[in-house]
Amino acid sequence: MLHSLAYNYKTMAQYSDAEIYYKQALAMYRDLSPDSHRQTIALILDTLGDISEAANRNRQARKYYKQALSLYGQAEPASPLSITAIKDKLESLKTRKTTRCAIL
Amino acid sequence: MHRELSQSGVSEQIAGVLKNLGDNYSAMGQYSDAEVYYKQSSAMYRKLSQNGVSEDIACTLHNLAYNYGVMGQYSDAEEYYKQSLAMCRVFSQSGVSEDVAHVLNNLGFIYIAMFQYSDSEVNFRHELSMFIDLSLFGVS
Repeated sequence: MLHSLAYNYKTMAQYSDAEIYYKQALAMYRDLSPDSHRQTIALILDTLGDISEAANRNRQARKYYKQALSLYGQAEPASPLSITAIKDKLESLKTRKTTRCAIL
Repeated sequence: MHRELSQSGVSEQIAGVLKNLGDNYSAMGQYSDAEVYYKQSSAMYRKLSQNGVSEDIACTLHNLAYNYGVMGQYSDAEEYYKQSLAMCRVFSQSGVSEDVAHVLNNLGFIYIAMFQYSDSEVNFRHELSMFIDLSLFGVS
């Protein structure tokens, strides 16, 4: 959903903060009632994938994107744009090389 | 007691009306006006509360934070989301509730927005509508 998250130390600090809160929100939504928050959970997973990718944690990014894709697939109403976007992200991860060393 | 409170211009009803005014001005895009009403509302709810903590204050602070987010004042948004979060946790079961999850989600988005939308309200609002869950506190 967020495209090309830029990388530098300042933004990585902000991503770390974002990641902390998104992870807590994710755990809580899953705990409470995952079925009624499917779309929200998918968006959080999508964003956690973006954050992981920006930090060169590609394997983790792939894991998040795949979980998000699965949930987008079950969402009602369907979200074909989200599905296309996340498939693109998974595809681009395949060819992406780790070129920077992330310090978090 | 009620008469005393209303005579001093402080009551639950007035605080509620001020919050609604804030919601309406925010929805109309008059964010500075909304900010004024949210602040008056939260101040009044605080006066009426015990120990300065209540679900009404948490809700008003959340909406104030959202309003700051739309204005591009992300540090202020962060501050008020955190205050709202702390208060929602007080009213949750062991820190877990729908309210807490919503505020955590919205707070997470603010850190992304801090650099992503530094000068673009339009983009922020677009992403916001997809990312931030507004169903809880009645902001539309």
